[in-house]
Amino acid sequence: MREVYVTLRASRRLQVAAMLGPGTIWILVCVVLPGLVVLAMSFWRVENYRVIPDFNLDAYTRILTRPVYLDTMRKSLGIAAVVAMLTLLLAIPLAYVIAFKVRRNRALWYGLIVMSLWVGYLLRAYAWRIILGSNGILNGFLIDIGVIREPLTFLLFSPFAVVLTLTHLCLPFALIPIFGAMEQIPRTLGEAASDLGAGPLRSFLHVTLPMAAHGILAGGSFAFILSFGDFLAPVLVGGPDGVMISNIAAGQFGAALQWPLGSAIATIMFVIVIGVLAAPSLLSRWLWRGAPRSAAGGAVAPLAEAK
Amino acid sequence: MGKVPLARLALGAMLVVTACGTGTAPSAPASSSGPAVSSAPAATEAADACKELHILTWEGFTLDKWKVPFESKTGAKVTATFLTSGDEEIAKLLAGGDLYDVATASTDSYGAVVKAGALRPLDRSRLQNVKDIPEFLLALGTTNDQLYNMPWNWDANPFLYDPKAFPTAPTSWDILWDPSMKGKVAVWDDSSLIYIAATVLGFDQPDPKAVFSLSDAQLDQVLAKLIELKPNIRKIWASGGELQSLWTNGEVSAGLGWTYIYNQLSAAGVSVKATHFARHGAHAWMDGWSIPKDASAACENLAYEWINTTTSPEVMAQEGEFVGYSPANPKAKDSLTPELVTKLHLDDMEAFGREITFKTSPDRPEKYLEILNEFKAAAGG
Repeated sequence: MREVYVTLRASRRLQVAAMLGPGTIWILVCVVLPGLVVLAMSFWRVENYRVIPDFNLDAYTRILTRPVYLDTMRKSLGIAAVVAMLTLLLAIPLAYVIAFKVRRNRALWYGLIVMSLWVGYLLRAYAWRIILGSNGILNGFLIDIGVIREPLTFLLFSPFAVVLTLTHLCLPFALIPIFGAMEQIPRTLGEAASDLGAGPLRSFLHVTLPMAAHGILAGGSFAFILSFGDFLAPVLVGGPDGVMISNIAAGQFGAALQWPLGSAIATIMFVIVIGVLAAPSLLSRWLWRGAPRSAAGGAVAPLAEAK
Repeated sequence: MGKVPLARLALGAMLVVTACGTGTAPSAPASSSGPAVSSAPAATEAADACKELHILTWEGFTLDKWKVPFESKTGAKVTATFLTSGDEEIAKLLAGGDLYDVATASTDSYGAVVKAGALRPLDRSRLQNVKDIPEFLLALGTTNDQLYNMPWNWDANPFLYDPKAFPTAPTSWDILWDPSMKGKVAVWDDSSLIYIAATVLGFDQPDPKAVFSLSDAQLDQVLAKLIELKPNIRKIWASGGELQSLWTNGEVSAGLGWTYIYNQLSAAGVSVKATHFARHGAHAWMDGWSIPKDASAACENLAYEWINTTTSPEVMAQEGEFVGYSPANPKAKDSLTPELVTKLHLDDMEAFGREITFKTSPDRPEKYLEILNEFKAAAGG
């Protein structure tokens, strides 16, 4: 019996290693290792078109003394925050409707939205250019029906266009965790709330939202991080003001050959993103310190039943 | 207990992968036989050693018109990788390695690339057409009496404007700042923007090349001037495709452009004209063929053959007709119409060459980039 027990444990370890191994290796090689290289490079310098590993803080000093870097970082954080909020404002009701109100073919509705990811970022950004341009579909339509006489130029090549495009991009990413969380909320809880006299809004605010909180925070984080690091939207649909911090970081690796400066910007961005990732879980733990954590994590949880 | 073997497995795998690496560090040549240049005559039997010629270049420089005959003559395949920006050109050339056998070096990046030692010196005795190329073009590809970049085509980027918005053609860059241009200007995300502002501020007098070595005080003035331009800018574009789409969709009516794009727009019937100002500034460039330092020795003969074929009068005439930039070989005019000869300055190469200022790398590219970034990040003036 003892030998069988040991053999089982050994094969179980092998199973775990086989499952986690490739993922761990990938993370180490493709995330941790490059991250360490970028961090190291941010302390080096460039001389005669070569990167010299000579420890110095010039890159960070430059970032702190020339206002353009921190100003742009602040602006990018602002855009990312706006996009995250707008995305949540759209994704939460959408997830709610699909999870609770749609009776048939729920997977189809969900699939349709997620399928937009298959189209690809560039193509969708170009689609917005065609829709929002001075001679684009929207302006053409508004002029045709007589609402305006001159095209609305703020629609494209403006912060409006950048926020719109990024929100459009982030929506499916935010929808997935929010929908996943809402799907797991037992219907019986909602029924119990209405039995106790809560209207639909109160039920939503005090039962559904808290239970979907971890999904909402995950979705919001995805949207925030995706937009913060984005450099395509400003290039494709942004206006003369629309440079984001990623554009500045990427530009350092071209003719300017400022790899240390670009790496320093990237490192600071990385630290900010880690902070954003850590904050929601700390925040949710504090905000909903009384509520059951999640239907799956709590006590015996009934599967969400399709009505 | 199960954690130890897992960690060791991960660590071992990581070490193996790091050791293998892709080996494209700038100081590590891949598989080159050294920079020594032999004087073997360029021969078609070179193709026996080299089956595929890898070229790093701009779109339009490997048109089928001359690529396909070259492939059938030599029996080798030509694979082109297209650049999208000067930044990419520098980054790829400085990365080294034997990925490319021939690379296009533009005057913008030539200085930096040669100083970094990324190009192999060219053997003039193996270049069939070098004696026909005007000296002023060869000089742009020569450093320390050594030729690195064989001239192929050149041009002075024109000012594009919509004749419907300008009954009389504009005569200087100041027009971009005119209040009537609000929201109608297209601006190239490039150091040329700094040269435009410097020209308007007079820093190009008396020496037009002074714009490449502006002082911090001058650059601050340039920045302020560019911020004043912001309300007029519709879009800052970075690629030829962008520029083309802006003009095609009627989003802009003035700005610096490229002749190749202008030709496409004209052919498509877009309302646009091109012009050069008397004080045009530093917007001329030359593109040439060069051989990366670490390019494989097996394909070197074929590389020279490619250069000789594309700089021949016949192919140069095709370039002038179908790509639209001025060919470097004046003998191309024998196969072109008189209008094209004039348009491409084939009958007054030296004179035109003296009028224009070629854009080279600024003294402090990182400072110029910073000014550009500050301009882009600043709120409209």
